[in-house]
Amino acid sequence: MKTARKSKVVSLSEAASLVKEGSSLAVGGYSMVRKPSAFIREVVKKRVGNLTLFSNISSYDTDLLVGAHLVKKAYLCHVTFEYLGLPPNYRRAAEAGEIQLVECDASLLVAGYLATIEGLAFHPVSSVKGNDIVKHMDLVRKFTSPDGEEMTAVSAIAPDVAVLHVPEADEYGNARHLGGILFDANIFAAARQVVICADKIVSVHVTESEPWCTTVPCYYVDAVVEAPFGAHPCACPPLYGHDEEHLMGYLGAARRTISGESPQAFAEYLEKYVYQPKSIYDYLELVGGVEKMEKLKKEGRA
Amino acid sequence: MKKEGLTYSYKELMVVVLARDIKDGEVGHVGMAGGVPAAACMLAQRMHAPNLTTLVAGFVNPKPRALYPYGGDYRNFEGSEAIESGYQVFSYTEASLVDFMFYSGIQIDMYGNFNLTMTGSDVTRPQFRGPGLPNSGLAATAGRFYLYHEAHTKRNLVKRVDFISGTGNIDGPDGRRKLGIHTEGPRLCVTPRAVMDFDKATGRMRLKSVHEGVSLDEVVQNTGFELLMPKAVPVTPPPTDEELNVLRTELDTLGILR
Repeated sequence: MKTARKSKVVSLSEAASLVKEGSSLAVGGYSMVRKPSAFIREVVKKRVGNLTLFSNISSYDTDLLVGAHLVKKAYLCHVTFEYLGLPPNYRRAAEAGEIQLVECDASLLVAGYLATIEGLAFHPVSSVKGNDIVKHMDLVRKFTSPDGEEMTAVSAIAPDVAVLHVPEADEYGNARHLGGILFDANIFAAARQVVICADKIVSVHVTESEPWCTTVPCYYVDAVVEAPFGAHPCACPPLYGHDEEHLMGYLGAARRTISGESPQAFAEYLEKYVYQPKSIYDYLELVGGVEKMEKLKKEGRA
Repeated sequence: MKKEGLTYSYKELMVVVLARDIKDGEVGHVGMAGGVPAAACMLAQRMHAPNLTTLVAGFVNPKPRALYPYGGDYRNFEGSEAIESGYQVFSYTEASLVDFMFYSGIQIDMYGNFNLTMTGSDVTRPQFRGPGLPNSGLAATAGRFYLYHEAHTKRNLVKRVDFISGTGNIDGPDGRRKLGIHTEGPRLCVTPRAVMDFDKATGRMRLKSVHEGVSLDEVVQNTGFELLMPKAVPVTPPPTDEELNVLRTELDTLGILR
């Protein structure tokens, strides 16, 4: 009996349900680029807590989850809003000792992912010598090589869920970054479940016409979500740039709450942009609608 | 920031100092910061080092139309010749394929160790939590690295970092060797006031030159430790007209370094 191939397309809410209380979550993208922001807001909306967070280079994603008090432990190399400033909620929580931060470096995280990808219990790293990061990273293991050399390794890292945002994917989960994949390459292969959020779901014929553009092959992927402008307020090259105005508003709300100048400002931000919007379209209207999105498209272009 | 009477800014001078130290045919890594280090590599490529390979966190030899204030800005990667994955970043770091790297820090110390992680004495309750850094490994495996800071104060140039995010000379001339690190480590530290290098006999930071319009006393007063002094302190050679022209008309067309 002939059976049709199964689509993996689900709603944002269904995909976010893969993240459970106490899950470990690996977030793709880097800096303010290609962050799965719509998915992160959905997790915050569901108030799923006690998360262990993994991200090489993060910004809004980490700061929002930490600001909503959903993160228990985090493996992060670099958290920054770059020229817009430091991540306020993350800084405050770290300085208050409210989250367990594990010092990290990209090589340590990649080695942990590689161990999983290669089916090993641990993976050696040779670059991280003499710094204090390696002294504090809790997955580091020392071992003696068969040649008698004292070496450093990292235990296998297999996050429960990895979430990536890409410009395009097809319904079966073939994802197209249309640009640099950077550390997304390691997390999708190491995680137990993979969610692909895409600005646009394209026909599988698009995938087939340019298979060399597929950066995540379908068999790694568990769920596909169509999330137009789903990286907003971060950028999704080559489609659109980051929304500086919105990010400044976000940072201002967090800073005013932390300084005590306006204790409710961040809660109001969450209420307005995270809890209240019924859909991503609702959210996009709130942040400026078509006019704003067209502006970000122009700005993101080289 | 342009000092009165000078035809260039100190950021432009920092770019020129770093660019001049880069050799043709090398492979350099800019990291995510963009700005000064990216401009230094691109200036070197356009002047004396056309065969330099510039790596910017996965992007190979980008040729943007302008420098943008945001290192991760996709427009910075226009004109790239290849895009590498995080695994390739891992492998060129581990296999020591990079000739030089650039680092900055919330603290840089007299041995060239740098800190982007935290200040205070307890990592679980930092006084100040910094941004951290994506790649600390190149401090050990790149042939050498350059330190730069856009401010030169006692707060950021300190006797001892509170946390070693990246390995400099640790605590002396043998600090690196004792850990099995055989690369050069920090070569220069460039700030808006001066250029420093590192003394081989002690592993410590030494004044190399002071920028035009800055006094020696100003440098000493704003450094949080005793800088080793050369026999004579020259003035940092200013940018040539050609260097400034290339920098302003071909690279920094938006003027973020001015």
